[in-house]
Amino acid sequence: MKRVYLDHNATTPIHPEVKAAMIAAMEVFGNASSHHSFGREAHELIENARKTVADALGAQPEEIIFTSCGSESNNLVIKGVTCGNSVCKIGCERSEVIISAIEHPSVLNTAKCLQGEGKIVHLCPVNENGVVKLDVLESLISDKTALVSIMYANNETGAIQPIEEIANMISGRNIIFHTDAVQAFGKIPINVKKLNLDFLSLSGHKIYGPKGVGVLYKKKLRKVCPLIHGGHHEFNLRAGTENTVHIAGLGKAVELCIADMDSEWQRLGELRNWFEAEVVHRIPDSIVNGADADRMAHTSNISFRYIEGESILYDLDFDGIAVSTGSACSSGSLEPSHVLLAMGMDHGRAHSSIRFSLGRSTTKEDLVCTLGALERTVTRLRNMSPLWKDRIKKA
Amino acid sequence: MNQYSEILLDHFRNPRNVGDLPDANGVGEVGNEACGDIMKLYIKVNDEGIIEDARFETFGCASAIASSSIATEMIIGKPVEEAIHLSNKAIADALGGMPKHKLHCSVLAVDALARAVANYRGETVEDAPDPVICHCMGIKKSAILDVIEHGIDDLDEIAARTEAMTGACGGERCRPVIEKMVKDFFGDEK
Repeated sequence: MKRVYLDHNATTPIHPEVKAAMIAAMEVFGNASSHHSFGREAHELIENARKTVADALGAQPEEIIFTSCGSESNNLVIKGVTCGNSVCKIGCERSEVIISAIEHPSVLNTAKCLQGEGKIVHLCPVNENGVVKLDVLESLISDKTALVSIMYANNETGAIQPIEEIANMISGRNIIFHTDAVQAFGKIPINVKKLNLDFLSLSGHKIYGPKGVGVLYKKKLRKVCPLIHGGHHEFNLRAGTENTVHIAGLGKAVELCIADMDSEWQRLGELRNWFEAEVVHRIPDSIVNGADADRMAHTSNISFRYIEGESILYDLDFDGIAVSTGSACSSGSLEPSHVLLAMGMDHGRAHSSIRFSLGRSTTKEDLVCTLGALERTVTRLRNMSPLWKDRIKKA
Repeated sequence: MNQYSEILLDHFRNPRNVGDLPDANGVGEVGNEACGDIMKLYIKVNDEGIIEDARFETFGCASAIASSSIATEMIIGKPVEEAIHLSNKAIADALGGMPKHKLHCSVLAVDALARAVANYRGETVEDAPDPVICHCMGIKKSAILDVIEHGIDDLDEIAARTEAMTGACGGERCRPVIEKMVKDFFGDEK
């Protein structure tokens, strides 16, 4: 059976050239901290990757900290600037943190953890398209604000956040500004200097690189207390012998993404728009969530009313089609996606949502195949649904 | 590994007894759209008190659909008096086991059956002698009362002994009810 992978926001397959770079790096076993030739070889691989990432972001190499994943990067900045031992004066002395209501759990739950340490955490609401409400954000910002952390693009809806406007809003107030760019980096151009960002998180496995490696960009003058104390690795900010193989893989992945970023954006945007138009045309009571937002070109979030997302996911899985859902039933909780609820969506619509995230390997043929399976799945499940029966009666 | 067994997936993919039953003499519906699952169960009971036929309509996840499907198979041909004792554990076992956070789907099927039978008898489910209190884990009132009557007033201890409040919702739904049961039993001094 031909399988179709439409869950690229969850993770991406490793690019063959990334794999080759990692295999080559496996031969380089030296400890990058060692001064002999073995160590220098490892050091060189790491520094080349650092330079590639820095160039991609418009940053300096010494502003790039390698971590184990996007979640670690988010934890490092949020805990690291607010920790009580005065490493970061602003983060330590000011009492409030602002994040958006649609952040990834690695930001949301890390910020919640700060509440236990006496910080006040504000959740900035979003509009019905899943975009941060700038007027509310402005009203939340004060001279007590230590950190503003707003994601670059949302993982569930693809909604791109007004990062430039936010940067302008807080400019000159000496507030720390962080963006979780895990879903956006490598897909749209991001220049940390132009945006005047203090911190930015990214992850390897969302851009056809390996799992287990991430980056925190840290503006030179900003201070952060490490999560992992120890040796002098990563400018004393992340102890532990560097993961040479994964860092080399990440470097290659960044290089490849940047090279075809514009053409992929164009190609995937056209495919996604075609797919959404077909779905809405062919399947009654299907609604594109966050459709009017400025969105990532490869992400589509659609509710299929009167049926439940997890059952759609499993039914499509039988046909070899991999998607994800914002329904509660897949996560083990009773509440559906916090992102969709934050957009003001009713629970029923949120429970019936499916995320399709396209990627490098996605072809029109994949989407044609998905459309056919989707029509069958939705019809089959609706024929069992008492809600659909009521809907038909009313019509 | 799939979180679902082969049996459960088969009942999801090829559900038995889907649809309504025009000549049903008992109908039970539970759940709501906001919670993500609704189950409607139809039964046709003959003059001898045997469930001749059963059908279901379900809005919900794969395990909710599978629970409905297997429940209809387990009650068809059974006397009502016997069918009413079908437990959610029996449903879960018949499906080859279910993940803990999905057990409430089997409870839903039992609740729907209780309502269908009550409807057949011309009663309401509130008349049921032993209602389910914890809907995630399918723990009935009698099991919780039994622990309280042994002098236990600590909710964590009640949870540990009965498994009530340990399901998908973390006790969000049944904790207030159990708190009230404790208060009713021990009075205000506790």
